Amino acid sequence: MPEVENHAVHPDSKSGVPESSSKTIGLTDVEWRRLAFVLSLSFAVILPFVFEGFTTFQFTLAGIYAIAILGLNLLSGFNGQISLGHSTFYGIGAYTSAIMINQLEVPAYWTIPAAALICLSFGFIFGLTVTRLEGLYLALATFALAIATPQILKSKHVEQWTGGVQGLDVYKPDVPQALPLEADQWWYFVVLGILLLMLWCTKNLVNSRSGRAMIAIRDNPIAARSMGINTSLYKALTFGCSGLYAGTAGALSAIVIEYVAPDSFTFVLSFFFLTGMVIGGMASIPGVIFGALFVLFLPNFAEDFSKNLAYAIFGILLIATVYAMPSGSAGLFSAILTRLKQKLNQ
Amino acid sequence: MKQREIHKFPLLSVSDVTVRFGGITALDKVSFEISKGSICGLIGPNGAGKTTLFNCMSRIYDPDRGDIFFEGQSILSLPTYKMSSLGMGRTFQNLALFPTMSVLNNVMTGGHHYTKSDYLSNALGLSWARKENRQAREAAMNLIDYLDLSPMMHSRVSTLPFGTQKRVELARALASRPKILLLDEPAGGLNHDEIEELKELILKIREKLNLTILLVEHHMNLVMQVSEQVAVLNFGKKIADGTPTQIQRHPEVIEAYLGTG
Ligand SMILES: Nc1ncnc2c1ncn2[C@@H]1O[C@H](COP(=O)(O)OP(=O)(O)OP(=O)(O)O)[C@@H](O)[C@H]1O
Ligand SMILES: [Mg+2]
Repeated sequence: MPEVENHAVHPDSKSGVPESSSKTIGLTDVEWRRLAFVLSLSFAVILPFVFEGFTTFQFTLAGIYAIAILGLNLLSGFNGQISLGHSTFYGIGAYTSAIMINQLEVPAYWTIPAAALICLSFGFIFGLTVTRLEGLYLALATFALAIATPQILKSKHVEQWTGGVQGLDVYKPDVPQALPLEADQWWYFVVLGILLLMLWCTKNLVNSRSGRAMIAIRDNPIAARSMGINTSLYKALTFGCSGLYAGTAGALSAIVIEYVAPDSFTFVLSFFFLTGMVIGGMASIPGVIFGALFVLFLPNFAEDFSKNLAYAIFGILLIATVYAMPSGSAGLFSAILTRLKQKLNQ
Repeated sequence: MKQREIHKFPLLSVSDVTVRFGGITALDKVSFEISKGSICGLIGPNGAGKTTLFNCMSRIYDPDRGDIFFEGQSILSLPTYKMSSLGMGRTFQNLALFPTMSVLNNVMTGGHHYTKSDYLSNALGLSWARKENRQAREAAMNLIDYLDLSPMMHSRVSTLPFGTQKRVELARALASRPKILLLDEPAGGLNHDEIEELKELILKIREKLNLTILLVEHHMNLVMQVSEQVAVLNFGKKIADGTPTQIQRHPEVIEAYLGTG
């Protein structure tokens, strides 16, 4: 390394955060971000005490979707590998958990890491086999997974484990006795905790050596290789990691819903994840929460509006949303923030 | 120029390399050697095969025939991503940066091969991985500072002018701690003064980092002033190889290149 004459290193840059000496109403950008995080977290903690059980349950599902969408975003947003097969990973996670609980009587909590590891392995192996496929070809390969999954789950050969068309019942463990919480509230917090953990890991990951490698592969695979990045390995690892997220989400969904059935894991679910990712914002970590809320609540809203035309209305709302925020919620938020900052600093 | 010791030992040698693209022969039995510590110019008209040769050396293209040796070892059985840890650094003629990344992250990515933190340690933010990341960032910032890129350290590279992006590519290549640096038209898009600066820079980094440099450039003054050795390609064939003075007098070179340029 060159011994450089003067070490004019910006003090701010040590933390890896872009320098932002400019303050808005006395706070730097980083401080604003922290504040926003603390406020959202407080809101999330209060939420199950404000709303009734069913709404809490729906927010729990949104949290589960957010975990799956986060995994998809890691793969597609940060690494540039498109997947229409995440319903499969989600399904494998759900069935792993359900089979372990229902047939092997493993404590539910232990089935979550088990599902995560199985999906990690499956994702890694699948990732290795498709490492040469890109763009639409990769989309097709993953789509093949998604359409095959429900039929495989129903097939005679595996029926004794999967319960065939009937699916499997899952018993949700009780709330720990020391806690004065309803079951809905407890599982909401379990999901929230796991979601926070995964958000934190993802943030660490994308700001690290491995994260730079993932983004480099997305941006320019040839240059990435020339910089010493083993692109096939990183792509497969990212696929595995993405599978781990989706599998965790699937396992949580099996426990929370207390039931798994093949038709919950069709390719439509993959498209919902994809929609959530795009609406939240490609390669945006906080965006996945918005994306998850969007795909969970918008169909309900459309259904309330008109039962027969629910999907048509959902479609129209989707188009309107994409039109209003072409780079997802993340793009919209940052545009609004920039505007606000300019106004406030005048 | 200061008299410097140039080792007789060839750091890189190209032997009989042939590359065909469909009907055209981009490289035709090209052979030459670069001594350790030297600066070697590689010149030739457009389409002569200079970039193709670079791509063979960095294992982006597979030659149809011939072999390439780095420190005496054939590289042709190695995957592309191993070239960086072997000590081969390069820049690209038409830029191959990571456009959505900041200057800092681009340069830090150059240090990928000698940093070791794995996926899991990174995801869990383990302290050794964080420490390694801090060290990589400091090393990258020193280089950024050295190449006067500090003011745009946090800018997305795609927003910067072409000449600046070329400098970011150089910083990224240097961040990989290369033994040999392949520069593909580093003066592209630079004005007269900037080319003078580049000349100083090339000589300075060679000295400081103990580099061997292979320089593809259309800017004749630059090549002739910094190189100890110049090789000339024309239609995929090496037509001359020697000191700058020899090359400037070589009749075939004058005909093929200098005369028309
Ligand atoms: N990937 C490719 N596919 C087909 N033909 C190629 C490819 N790469 C290079 N060529 C051809 O090989 C020949 C040599 O090209 P190359 O880029 O190596 O020339 P060069 O000496 O770098 O030229 P320039 O000075 O214009 O950069 C040209 O005829 C070019 O069209
Ligand atoms: Mg070229």
